[in-house]
Amino acid sequence: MTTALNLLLVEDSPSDARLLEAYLEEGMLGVGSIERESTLEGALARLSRGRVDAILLDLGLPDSSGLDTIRQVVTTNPEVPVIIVSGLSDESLAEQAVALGAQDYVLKNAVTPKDLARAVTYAIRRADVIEETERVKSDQLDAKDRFLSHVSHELRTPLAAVHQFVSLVADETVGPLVDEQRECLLVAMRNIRQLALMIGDLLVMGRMSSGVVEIRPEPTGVLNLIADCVSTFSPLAADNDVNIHVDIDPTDLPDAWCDPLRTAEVLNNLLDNAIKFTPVGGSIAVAATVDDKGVRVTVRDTGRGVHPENRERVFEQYFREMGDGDSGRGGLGLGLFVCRELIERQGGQIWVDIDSSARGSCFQFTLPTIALAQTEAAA
Amino acid sequence: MTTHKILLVEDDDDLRRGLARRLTASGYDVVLAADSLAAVSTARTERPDLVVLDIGLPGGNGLTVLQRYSDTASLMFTPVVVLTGRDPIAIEPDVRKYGVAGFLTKPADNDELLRVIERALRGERDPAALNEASRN
Repeated sequence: MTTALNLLLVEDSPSDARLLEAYLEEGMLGVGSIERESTLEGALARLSRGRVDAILLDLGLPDSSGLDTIRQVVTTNPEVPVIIVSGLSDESLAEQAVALGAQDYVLKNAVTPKDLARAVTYAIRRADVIEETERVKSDQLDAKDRFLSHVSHELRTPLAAVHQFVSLVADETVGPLVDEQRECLLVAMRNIRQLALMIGDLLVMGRMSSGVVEIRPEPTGVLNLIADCVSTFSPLAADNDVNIHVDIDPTDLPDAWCDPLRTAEVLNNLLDNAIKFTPVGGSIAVAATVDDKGVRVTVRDTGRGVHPENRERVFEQYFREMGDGDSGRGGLGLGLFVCRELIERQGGQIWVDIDSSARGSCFQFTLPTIALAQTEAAA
Repeated sequence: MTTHKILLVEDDDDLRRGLARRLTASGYDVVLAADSLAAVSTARTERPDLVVLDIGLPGGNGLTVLQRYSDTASLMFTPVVVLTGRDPIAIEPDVRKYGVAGFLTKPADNDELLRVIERALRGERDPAALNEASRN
């Protein structure tokens, strides 16, 4: 250690403080300054004014005692190493102190100048290593996000080319097919779509963790939003022979305070799932109502439903509920995870209702009304 | 009924060929450009009714092409359908400034692409364009 160290000694007993200072000066090279505070309040005020290299902390202070003292120092200054200097030989207390984030626990009446110096030096080194590790970890996460975004982008163009040429053959634009050829190409097309979904999920993952997704709320007509999303999905639903029905009374539905793009993303995701899991001939009902929680949007389908025990888990990252023969149906299991993120970041809630007597699943989410958002902002 | 002319701007040779074949099969005249310079010069000489535009392009990107179109009197009202492999959320605010007629992510569903093109040629903006931008 080449630079002079600045230590903060938090000790209310003047005689103990003098002894510890003498030990540090005797046992340690490179001590620049030893500042002293005799209360927790004084110590926290000193730390708020600027960083020190290490804190030597007595647990019994006039305004704080025991583990609470550590908690307060560590939570406000997580990067500064803390060495407990205690008069109490208590193994379990020492263990708890370290669990709370202290680097070491030394006994005032048993420690030698050399021991104390070693404890402080090692604590500082360990804190440096931890800081470096955290930095490397955060760099790696950034690199991972950039990688995901890059890979997702680079995979799309060749996939689009494959999709285009397979579809040109599959829909007989370039010549007639026999049934068996057509069946083979339909399987290829289905898998191309699945791959596209997965690539989209890669992108979403990078995006969510890097915080690219901004929420820009504005007064939003939910009815129009639902109509737009439903019209986007109508062709796909028709292909699967699934009926989508919208049930909204436009006269009593106030505008929601939400980001229309992000809300559309949620609705698209729910509709996509509903279509995916609803068998031929089934139906999907989209409704919107208002209550004291705000505007409530419901997407109900007659598909196979969500297993009650997975009620919470369906919103977790990478969770996919497996059913018969549908291993190749979705993306990476991020859709509902993203939905929950987006809805909660807009001040709403999303959940799935489990009704064992009814078929299918019923996803609901709420969005604040403008009035609710104003009350919230004023509170 | 006159045949509409579409300028397809895509730098990937295979995808450009595939999409051109798709558009031709759907009854459009198709002219091609593979980079952003050609996207501007071909648009000037060919006067297409609509442009399908990739964003990641050599020689500048699709956004510079959109800027050049909006600066050019003969092109500023030509509808543009963006077809991109980029993260739609990351580039959407930039693209939105130019009021594009449609925004699709690769690989786009053929029916959807053709529907967006038809609408744009009728002078309508695709109502799902922004939904589309947020999907995936």
